[in-house]
Order: sequence, then C-alpha cells, then structure tokens
Amino acid sequence: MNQNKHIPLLQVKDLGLTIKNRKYLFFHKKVEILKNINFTLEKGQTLVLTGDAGSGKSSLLHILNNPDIPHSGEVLVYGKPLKDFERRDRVGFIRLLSSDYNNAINPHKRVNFILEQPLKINTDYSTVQRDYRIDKILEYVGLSSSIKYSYPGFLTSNQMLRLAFARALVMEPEILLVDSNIEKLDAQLRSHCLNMLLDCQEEKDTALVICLNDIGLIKHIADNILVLSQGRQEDYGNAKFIISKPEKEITKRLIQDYNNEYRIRPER
Amino acid sequence: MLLDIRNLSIQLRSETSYIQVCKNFDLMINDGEICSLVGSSGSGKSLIINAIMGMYGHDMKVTMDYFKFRDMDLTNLSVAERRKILSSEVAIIFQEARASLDPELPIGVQMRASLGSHCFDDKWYRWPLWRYRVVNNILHKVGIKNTKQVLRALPYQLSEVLCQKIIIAMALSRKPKLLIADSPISGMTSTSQVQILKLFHSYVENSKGTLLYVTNDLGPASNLMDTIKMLYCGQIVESGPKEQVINCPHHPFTQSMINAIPEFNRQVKLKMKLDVLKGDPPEFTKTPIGCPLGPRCPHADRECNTMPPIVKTKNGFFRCYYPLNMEKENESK
Repeated sequence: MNQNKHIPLLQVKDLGLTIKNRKYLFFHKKVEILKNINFTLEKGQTLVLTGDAGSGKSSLLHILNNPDIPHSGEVLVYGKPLKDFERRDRVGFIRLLSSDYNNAINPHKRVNFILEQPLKINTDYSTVQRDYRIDKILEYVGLSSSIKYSYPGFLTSNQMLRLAFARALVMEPEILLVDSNIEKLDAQLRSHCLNMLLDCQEEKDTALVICLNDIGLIKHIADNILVLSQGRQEDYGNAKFIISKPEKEITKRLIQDYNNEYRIRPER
Repeated sequence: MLLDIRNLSIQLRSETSYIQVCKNFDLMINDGEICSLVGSSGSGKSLIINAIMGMYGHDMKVTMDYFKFRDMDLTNLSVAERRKILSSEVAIIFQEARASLDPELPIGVQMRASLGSHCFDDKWYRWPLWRYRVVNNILHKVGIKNTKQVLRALPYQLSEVLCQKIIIAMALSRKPKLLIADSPISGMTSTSQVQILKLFHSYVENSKGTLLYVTNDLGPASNLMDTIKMLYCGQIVESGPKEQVINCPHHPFTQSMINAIPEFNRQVKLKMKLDVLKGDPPEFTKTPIGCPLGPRCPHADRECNTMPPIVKTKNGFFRCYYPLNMEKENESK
C-alpha cells in the first residue's frame, strides 16, 4: 500500500522566513522575506527560481542548503523533514555549486585538500578509498590527477570551474543547488558550465535548483519555473507553458523586459 | 574623431622578463558612436582601458605611436599630465562596483565629491545645494527608489547590483565627453538592464556623448552597439558594424561567441548541448605561434602557424586564413 504512493524527492510546504530589522536597543521591525512557498522536485528535473532583485531567491537557496532554518513550514526529502536528518546524510545529497569560483575556493590550500575535506568530515572512508574517490571525480570532470598537488592559483578559469564542479560532486549529491553567479561568467564559460550541468543530469539523474534571470537560458534548460516577487510565490509550473502564455503581471513584465529593443535577433 | 590610438602595446613585468600582453592595437572612436570591445575573460580588455586612461604603475610598460583626444595630441606627454587632461572629460565604470567605492564614506558624500565645480552648468543663482539636486535626479533616473536611505548607507550595506547602479550614476552625473563602461550590466535582472541601457542610449543621443562599451557577452546589448570589435588574446580578430558581425561572422571565434547564446542559434533544441570551443584560452606567457586561436580552432590547418594577414571587408576587417560565411557576403553584394 505504501509503495504505491509516490513520494517526491523534494517537497516544500508553506515555507516562511521572517527577520527582525533591529534599530537602536529595543525597537525592531519584522520583515517577511518568504511567505507560503510550495513546490515539489522530482529526480532528474530542473527547477529555476526567478524574480526581481530582493525577491528572496537566494534566501530560498540558503534554506534548502540549510544554513538558515525556516520559521514556518517544512522541507521534506523523501517524505522526511530535512531537520530530522543527520548532518552527514543531509550534506551527502544536497550540495551547493558556487559558480563564483574565485571567491568560493580557498587559494591557500592544495586541490587535494579542497576535495578531501568534505569526505573526511562526512564519511567513514579510509585514506585509500578517499584517494580513489577523488581520482574518479577528477576524471569525470575532465581534469588530470596530477593537478591534485597544485594550488588553485595555478589553474586557468576553465579548470577552476571544473574544480568547483568536482567539489560539488564529490559527495555524489542527488540535488544540486546553483547560485546566480553563473550569469556573470563570460559567454564561453557559461555555456561550458551549462553543458556540464546537463551532462550531470543525464548521467547521474541529479535534480537541479538554479537561480537565473536570463529568460533565454531559462527556456533552454528549465523543466519547472518558480517566479518570486517580494517573497511571495507568484507563478509555478511548466516553464514552456508559462513563458509562452504568461498570466501573472510580474511574469509578463519580466518577459517583456527581456525582449527589449536592445537585443538583436540574427537572421538564420 | 574623438579618440585615436595607434599601435598600442602593453607589457607586464614578471620576475625575469616582460610579458607581451597586447601588440599592434588600434582604436578609433568617432564622435557620438557606441563602440564595443567584446572578448572572453582574460583577453586583456580591462588592461587596455587602464592603459588608455594612464592608470598603471611601474609593473606595466605601455608604448604607443600616436594618441589623440579631441584635437589634442597627447603622444609625448607624461602619464601624469595625460591623466590630468583626460580626468575632466572621460568617466569610467569599473567592473567590481563595490571594490571601487570607498568603504568608509557614505554613498551621498562620495557622489557629491565626484562632482567638481566644472560640472555646474546652470544660472548663477541656482548654485546653493546644486550637488544635492543633481545627485537626487540621477539616482531616480538609474532606478533607485528610496534615495534617502541609500545616500546615508555605507557600501557594505548595499547589494552588488545597487553598487553597480551607483557607480553608473556617478559616472553619468559628471556629463563626460567619453564614457567607458566595463561590463556595467552583468548580473542584473532584465528590468534594470533595460533601464541602464536606455540611460546609455539617451546619454549618447541627447547629451552628445560617446560610449566605449566593454563586455564579455554579445547577448543583452548587441543592438545598442554601432561597431563591434572582437578581442582575443590582446588582438582584434574581427571588427565591423553590428549587423555584419552578428549575421555573417567571418572569424571562428566570433561564431563561437554567437553559438554560446542559445537564442541566437535556432537549431538548438531544449536541453541540447551548446557548442563551445575546446580547451582554455591561452596564457600570455605561452601564446601559440601564429594565429592565437590556432590550437582551439576547428578549421585550423598548417597555414595557421603563421600570423594571418588583415583581410578588409566592407566596413571592417578580420584576421583568418579560412573565414566562414563568405558566400553569404558575396550574395548580398
């Protein structure tokens, strides 16, 4: 009976987050950053978060990655609340890919240390097993294993991006969170990064949660889309359907602003 | 001709020798033109801007044959003298917005300090508090609503995008003759991108300015540009008006930059891999012999081991032995 019921990979119910904006000693103002967020995520799917600046995209990512704890509602993984998991298990299946690689990777440590540390903390592997895992992930990402003993400063931008991927994928996560710095990369590196994400999704069936502003990129990679405005969920559903026939005011505005007069359309 | 630079070369000092970063670089910008430099990261865009403005120390060696700015010949002047002349007429928007603001002063003080008295052009009795008025006006134009809070804040209290907008406002409020913008709209939402691009457009149209737009992405602002210069490894590989460069690119690097944008390529279906060039852009210490794109180029042959000559087209040029889309141009003729 229980097996027939389908349990989604990730389910978010009525999520809410409020902060106190303190002024002087006794006064404070309560600000609602997120309110009533609901969505589900299946295996191998992509969810894209969009919205204006300050609409709570990255706050939502922080909650999923669990440095922040929501004040109301819950995050369910395989039907079990996220806060009930042990830290080791949780870190194993939700990882953050920080595409701002220059700031996210410690320049004072060798590549080996950077990749070994999450394994050392979160698993019971022996040294040989860890070494094997690191070699495997480096091969998957497309770096030679001789790179292990160099510092990140010696690497080129392309290799740094691959290293960021390797760091996110060492624990073999089922959900990969990607922050919005992906748009600041130049066109070549960005499409390289997207190719790697798509590869990862195809081979390992990873679910992706990505922050993006660019509608053209969203059209290309998204399955589902979640539009946020002022911390409220405005639109949620199939990306193709929503972008072709927008109904809500904010979605209409975002798409209209994207198709502006300064964007050229080549004749092909 | 507003800016005319011939044969610029830049060398960076390393421990043992000097490394050639940029060689034989020519830049000519007409009055009221929007010229754009497009290149991948690490191709020397920001270095070239710094060299033009004279913002470098002893670790950089810059030589040029000819430097002319608005009828003034600045070739034989020292760096300090050149900087003095350029500083009142040229404004720059830097790449890292928060890093280029002073961390210890409120935004309002910084914005007012950047307005020198030569920026005042109004009736004499409007002198009192004119800086406050100008700052308030320009912040509204950039799209910042709660100006009172922002003007009182310190840079660390604001988001990166807000800092970017403030830097843009600061540059535009001085009404410069030439504005150099170094990837000003990266990381913004589409709403604020349109706002900033409209502001640039009106700056060029109404106040008769000139814009040098430096970016690493052809997508969002391609229709704003008049001429596009593709930069690879410190060298201009293709140049021409925007329709020509985007609709029939001749150089493989330009083609790959266009293919990297999923919307420009109609053949790409949902979740298909985008085609990119293999490998990394070369480091300046080990630039390949001959064509710099050589090892990464899909069409390369033995001939590419020597430097390709400049081939002139209708309004521009390119450097390649095996150019693409040549039939397309012949048809249009």
